[in-house]
Amino acid sequence: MAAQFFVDWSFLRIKWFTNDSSSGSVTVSGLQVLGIPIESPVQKYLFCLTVVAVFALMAKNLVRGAIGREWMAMRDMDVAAAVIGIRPVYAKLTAFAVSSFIVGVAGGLWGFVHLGSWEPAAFSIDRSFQLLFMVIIGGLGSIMGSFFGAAFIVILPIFLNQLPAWLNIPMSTATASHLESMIFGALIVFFLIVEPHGLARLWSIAKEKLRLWPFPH
Amino acid sequence: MKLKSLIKGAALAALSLSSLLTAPAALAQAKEQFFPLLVYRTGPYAPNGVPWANGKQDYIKMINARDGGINGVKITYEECETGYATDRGVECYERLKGKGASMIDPQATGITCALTEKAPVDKIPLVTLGYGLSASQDGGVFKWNFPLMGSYWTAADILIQHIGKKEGGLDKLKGKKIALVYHDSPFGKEPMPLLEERSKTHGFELLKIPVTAPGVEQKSAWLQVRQQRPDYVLLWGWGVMNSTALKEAQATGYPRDKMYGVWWAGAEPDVKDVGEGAKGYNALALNTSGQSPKVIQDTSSMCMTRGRARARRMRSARCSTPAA
Repeated sequence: MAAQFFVDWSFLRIKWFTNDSSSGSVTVSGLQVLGIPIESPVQKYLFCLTVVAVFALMAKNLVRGAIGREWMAMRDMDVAAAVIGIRPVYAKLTAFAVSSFIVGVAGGLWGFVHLGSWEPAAFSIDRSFQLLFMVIIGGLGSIMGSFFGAAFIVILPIFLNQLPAWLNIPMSTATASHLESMIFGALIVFFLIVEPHGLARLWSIAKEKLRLWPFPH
Repeated sequence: MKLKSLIKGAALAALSLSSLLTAPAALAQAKEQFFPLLVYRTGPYAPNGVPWANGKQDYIKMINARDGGINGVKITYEECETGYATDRGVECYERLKGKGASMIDPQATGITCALTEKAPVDKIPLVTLGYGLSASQDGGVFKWNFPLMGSYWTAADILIQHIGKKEGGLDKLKGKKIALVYHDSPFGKEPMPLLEERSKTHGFELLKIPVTAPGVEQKSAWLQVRQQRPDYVLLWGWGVMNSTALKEAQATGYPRDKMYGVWWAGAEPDVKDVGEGAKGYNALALNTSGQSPKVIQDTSSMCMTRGRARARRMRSARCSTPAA
C-alpha cells in the first residue's frame, strides 16, 4: 500500500523515470523480440501467451519443489515450519521476490504490450485491488486459480458490457455499464459465499465429480 | 509560438477535415461510414462526459437527417463506454476498429497516448478535438494524429497572453507568481513545457500543484495556494475536479476572477453546483457559445422535434465565459 503511493509520487517528480516525457506518459514504439515485430493484436497475443506459458510452468514447478513446500509450510504455520528447520526469513523473502518478479513482468506486458503507453494512472490503486481480488476469487495458493481469477476480473466485465449488444437488447451505454458493475459486484459476493476457497476449488470439485460421474460411490 | 502553432493547427484541421470529407466520396459505393464513439457516461467524469457524448451523437443524427449523411454517405456509429480509463479505452478501440472505423476520437488524453502507437499500424486517423498530444501538431512525426481546434499548448499560451494583457503587457509578468493547478494525468501535464518556457521568457514564477485524479480531494493543493498566494491560478481540471476546485477556492478565499480554466474546466456542470461561489471565474472556450450558429440551431431543432433535447444541454454544457 505504501509502495503504491510512493511509486506514484516518485513517477511524478523524478523526470528520468518517465524519460522526460512532458505528459508523464511513457511510450515505446517498434516493439520487437529477436527481430520479430510485436505490433498486431495476434502478435501481441502470441507473445504474451508464450511468456505466460513459460511463467506458469516455472511457477508450477517452483511450487512442487523444495522451495514451494517451504512456502506452503510457512503459510500454514510459521512456528511449526521453523521448528522443522525451514528458515522463516529466507522462505518469506524468496516468496516475495518470486511473486514480485512475476507481477513485475506482468506489469511490463500490461504497460507496453497491451496499453502501448502508460502513465502512473494505469497502475492506480484500483489496479492493485483488482490484482488482490484476482488472487482471492481465483483461490489462494493455487496456480490454476490465478488464471480463473484474472479471467473473472478482466474478461467478465467486458463480456457483461457486450452482452446486451449480442442479444440485440436495445440498451443505452450508461445503463449497460451500470448493470455491468452491479452484476459483477453481485457475482463477487456470490462466489465468495458459495466457495470461499475460490474458483480453483470449484474447478477441482467439478473435476472430481466428473471423474466419478455417472456412478458416484 | 502562438501564431506558428495556430497556423499548424489550422493546417492540420483543414487537412484532416478534407480527408474526412473526401474519403467518403471516394468510397461512395460503401454508402456508409462507421464512426466509433468512445464515451464515458459513468464514473467521476460523467458530468461532462454525458453531455459531450449526447451532443456528438445528436450531431451525427442531424447530419444524417438533414444532409442524408456526408455526400450521401450515411454515418453509422456505435458507442463504447471507457469510463475515462485507458485500458478500457484500448479495449473499446480494438473492439470497434474491426467494424471498419473511419476515424477514432478517444475523448481522453490518456487513451490518445496509448492509441498514438496503434493508429499508424491500423491506419486509422486519430482525431483529437481540443485535447490529446500537443506535440502531435507536428504532422511530420505523428502522421496519424489530427489535433483539431488547438492543443493544450495553444490554450496555455492564450491564457498567459491574456493575463499579460490584463497586467498591461507581457513584461509586467516579471516577478509574478502563476500557479498551475492540474489534474494529475497526461491531460494535466500537457501545458507544462510551454508554461515553463513562458516563465523563463517573461520571468514569472510557475508553481505546479498536482491534484490526484479524479480530484474530489484537493485540500492540500489549496493549502499550497493559500501559502504561496499566486497572482493567478490556471485550472487544468476535468469532471468533478473543477467544481471541487471552485469550492475550495471559495473556502480558501482565493479570488475567483484570478482563476482561469482551460476549455475542459469551463462547462456548465463545473460551475452550476458551485452557484454564487463561481462568480467571476473565467475559462477558455473552443466553440461559439449561444444559439446563433446554424449548426446548433439545426441540431437542436431536429433533435427537439424528435423529442431529444440533448443538443441544447450539450451546447450549454460547453458554454463558458470567453477569456480570450
